[in-house]
Amino acid sequence: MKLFQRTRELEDQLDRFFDAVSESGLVLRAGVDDYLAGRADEFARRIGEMRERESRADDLRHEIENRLYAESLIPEQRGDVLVLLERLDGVLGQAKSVLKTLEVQQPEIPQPFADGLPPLVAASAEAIERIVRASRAFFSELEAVQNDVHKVRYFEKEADAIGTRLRRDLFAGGLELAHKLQLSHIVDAIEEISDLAEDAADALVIFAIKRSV
Amino acid sequence: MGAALATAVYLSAGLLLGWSLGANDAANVYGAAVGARMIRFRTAVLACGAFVVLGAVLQGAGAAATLDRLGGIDRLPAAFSVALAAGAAVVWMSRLGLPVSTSQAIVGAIVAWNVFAGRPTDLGELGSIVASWVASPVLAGAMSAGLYVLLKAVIRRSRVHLFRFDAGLRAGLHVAGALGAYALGANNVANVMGVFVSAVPLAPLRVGGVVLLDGAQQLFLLGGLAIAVGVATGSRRVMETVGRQLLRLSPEAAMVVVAASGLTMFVFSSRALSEAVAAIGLFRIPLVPVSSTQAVVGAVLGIGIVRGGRGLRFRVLGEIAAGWVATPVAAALIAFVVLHVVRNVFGAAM
Repeated sequence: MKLFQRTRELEDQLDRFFDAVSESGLVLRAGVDDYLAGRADEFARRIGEMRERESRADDLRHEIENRLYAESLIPEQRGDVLVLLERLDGVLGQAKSVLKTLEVQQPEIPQPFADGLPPLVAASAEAIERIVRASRAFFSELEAVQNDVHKVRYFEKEADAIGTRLRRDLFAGGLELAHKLQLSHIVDAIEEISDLAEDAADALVIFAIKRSV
Repeated sequence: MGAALATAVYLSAGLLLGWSLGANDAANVYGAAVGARMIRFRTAVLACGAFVVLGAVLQGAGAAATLDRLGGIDRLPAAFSVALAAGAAVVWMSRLGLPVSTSQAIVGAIVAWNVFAGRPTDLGELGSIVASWVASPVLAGAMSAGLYVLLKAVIRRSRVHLFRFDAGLRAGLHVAGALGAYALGANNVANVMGVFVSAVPLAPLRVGGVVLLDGAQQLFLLGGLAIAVGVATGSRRVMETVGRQLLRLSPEAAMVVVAASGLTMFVFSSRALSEAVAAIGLFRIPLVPVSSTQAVVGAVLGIGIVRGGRGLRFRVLGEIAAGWVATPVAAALIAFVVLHVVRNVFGAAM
């Protein structure tokens, strides 16, 4: 019974880790919206929320890793699970990095570039949500993994297309080159979120195949 | 005092056989769990020892009675010689790297005793024993294939969380290990003490005013303890080696292998099951000591076949079949020598 109780605690920790990663997508969207609308206080609050999610996810990941090794749990899948958690942590870290860039650089974002940014953020945030769903499925509903992995890939392509359009319009416009490069780097950073989600999804597919054999 | 000492010396051959059995065969029941670091070695030793003793005392009589009927050895020196010859055959063949089973060695040595003493060997009994050797890996293979397919279907449908599945697997390995250890004690204590049952008549013993052990059960308790000591002092390396080999399958397949081989040994040692099967008009299952290693090999092959037959090493089956002949013959030859030496050199009455 003690064994099953410990297992429930670990499941709970894993769920909270997934929650933190998933929420990072929501906080990212809200944070970018606040920045674009010039709501400085709200934006600062979002930065704090993102830091809290990252710190919580870090703590949970380390605790889960330690327990998996200390209690010799899931010996067959332990390595795969640790890689998955690290990659999800990387996705969350990149979401935080986008908000940090806005906070540190305080870039001026002119129209129509400002209108193009939320759809890009939405596609990357959706990729985060889908990789979290696929990861949850890996633990309890293996057949559902492929469906959400497919959606991650879809949103990565969507983010890629929006990013390319934004950069093309940006460099065709009349801003200073330095300003163009600054905004282009922000587009890169947002796109990187969905790229990292896709990397995690690629690894997850292999882990799921290994588990199903 | 002298008689007690002589009895102890003669019984030592059986106890040594028990120690060797514990050191080598406990790996078949707890190797997978220990190899996967899912159960600590110390926990495995305690559980294995306890269940082996329990199986030996509660259910050791059936297979032991079969060996007793085959040889009817009623003299301690003869029982000692037969047990010693079986033990020597096991050690000798193991050193040569040949597949060997204590169950088959003891039967060869008993038949040699019959020839040595000029007694007829019950060919019907011998036939059913040999048939059980062939049937046990086949039965273990069929059971493991069935259990594996069932387990996979349950896993697919239950959508159980990976962590909970892992916890369930650990519990399953504990249960399968306990079942395997119980069956090992019940089935294989006959190899250790079966030849001594008629030779060492002991008065019933009341333990703690509650449990009453008849003479044979006292011997099985001793044999079970010898196996348990073998598990505690000599099984660690074998457990890790066998465990790693079993785990190449997967922890759930390893659990099925342990359960199927345990059930197979249980089938060949349960008097109640044998009578129940006979009562519904089917055949009577012979109660015979079978090889736990060969049951494990059969169970692994069973899973290999339902997985599509990739990577199966059918050569192992040939080696086992060769062992059915080579082991009893080697044990019989050694038994002749030992019996001659014990009678002619030490002047023991047989």
